[in-house]
Amino acid sequence: MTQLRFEQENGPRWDRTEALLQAAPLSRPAPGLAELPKLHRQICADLALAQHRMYGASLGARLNDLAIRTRDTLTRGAAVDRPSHWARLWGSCPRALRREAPLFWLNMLLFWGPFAALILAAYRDERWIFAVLDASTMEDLDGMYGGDSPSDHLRGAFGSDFAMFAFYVQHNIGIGLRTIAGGVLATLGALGSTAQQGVLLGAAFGYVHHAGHTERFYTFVAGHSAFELMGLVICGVAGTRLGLAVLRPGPWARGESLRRAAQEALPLIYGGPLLVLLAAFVEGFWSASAAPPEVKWLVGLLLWLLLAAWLGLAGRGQADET
Amino acid sequence: MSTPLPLLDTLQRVELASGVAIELHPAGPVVRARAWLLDLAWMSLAYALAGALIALSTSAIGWAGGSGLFLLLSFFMTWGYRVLYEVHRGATPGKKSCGLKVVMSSGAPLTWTAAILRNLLRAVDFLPAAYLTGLASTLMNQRFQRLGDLVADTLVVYCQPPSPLAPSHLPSEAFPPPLPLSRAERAALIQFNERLPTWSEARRAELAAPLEPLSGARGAAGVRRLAAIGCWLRDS
Repeated sequence: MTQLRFEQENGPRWDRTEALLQAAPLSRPAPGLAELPKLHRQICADLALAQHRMYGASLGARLNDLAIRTRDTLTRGAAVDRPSHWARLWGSCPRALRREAPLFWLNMLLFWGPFAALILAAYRDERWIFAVLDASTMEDLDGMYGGDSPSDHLRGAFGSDFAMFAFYVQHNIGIGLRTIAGGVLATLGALGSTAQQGVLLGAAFGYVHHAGHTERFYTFVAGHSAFELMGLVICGVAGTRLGLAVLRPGPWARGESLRRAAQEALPLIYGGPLLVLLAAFVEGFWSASAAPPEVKWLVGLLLWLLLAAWLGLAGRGQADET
Repeated sequence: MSTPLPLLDTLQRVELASGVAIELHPAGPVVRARAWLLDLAWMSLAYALAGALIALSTSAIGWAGGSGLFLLLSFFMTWGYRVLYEVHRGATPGKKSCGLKVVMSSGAPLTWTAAILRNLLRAVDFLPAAYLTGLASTLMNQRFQRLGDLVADTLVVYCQPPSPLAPSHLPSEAFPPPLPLSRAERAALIQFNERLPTWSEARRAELAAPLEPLSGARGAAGVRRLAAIGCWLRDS
């Protein structure tokens, strides 16, 4: 059969398919759509014939385009995966974290190690603090915890609880997301970022002890510390997992190994930043509030225990859906 | 089914459930850089507009509320804006105006997860400046995937099939090939015929020169003979 006859015989059907595709925008059903599966199969058969018989490139391109677009219209429901795993995150995030236990403890060590080391070093010699923190950070710390109350200082700087919340979202979640992404660079971005947070925070704690604002400081950080710090550690674990896939791809090509690692670490990639978001809510709307210190201690302790229970216990006895 | 022909271009074959192979046309770094610059202009415009709106509304919500909104806006523009565009429209405005779209490597529409992952990894692809890491990655695989595309299993492809070639203006007499030709050789001759109008006279002759044993002539006469063989192969 010549190309011309092939086009003459089937052309009207292709035009009809084209018209149907244009009448069926991706968002709502249209009349005649029931015929689409059949048309798609016929287009595929036509394309296979055109390829086998080596008909011209422009005909091939047209059929190729029709095959792709009919397929996309048919499969759109399955392809737009309304993130159902967000609902499963309750169990899948702790499970993924326990699966990556060695990486979790590595990141914990890299965070809490420098943190404790900086506090101790600052206690012995305050120059350690000045080596890490710049003057404006120390002024901020003085303003927040040395003055009347943290909330007054923060309201002065940000104007309202909402603005504080927005700042924490933009700044802290940004750090978490960059930590995950940076892990792709042979884990260095993630591990480095985790350790850096440990150093900065350790120096800040050391400075507060040095300047003697301890009570204000601890009542302020008690509430959100659990979510924020563990959220960042979980981001570190997710990033480290991605980097390991590059360093040690096992039986797969590096690209394929990276893709698999991302799917495995997905609950952590979603869970870590979500915890930091939760921390931003607490930090913005609760931490600077006027509640008495005892209440804040209690709430902070409770949140740490709840978080530990969730990470340690939730999702046990369930299998991962893959 | 016949064995696939050797590739003469950068098209990527993906086999569908029905067994037929569709072709995707991955986009290279240059057109993607242009799309990124257009997006940058578009985003600056969005920033300016939203910033002006927020500034106007500060009389109602106060200066602090306005600065909070602006921080949330900048967070969204950094991490969320491209994800929403790519999931709902298939491409950011810049890509769309360059005729590009983002698809799964199977050619299927982008999923939420993939869109989130590929845009998350921009933070690394951008390093150390101007997407140098991403550029290195696109040049190191055959589908122009930056790191974000590798992690999310996505491709940036051209939406439209390449514009149809104009029909040949050369005398389209048909002439059977004097030798038995393999399938790949026949395909090459048919494609030669199709692309003929896009080349200069000298280029045609240059490409036809090595085929002198087949055409039995040099220069313009050789080109005409090859075109005639191509016509015969196509129409028989």
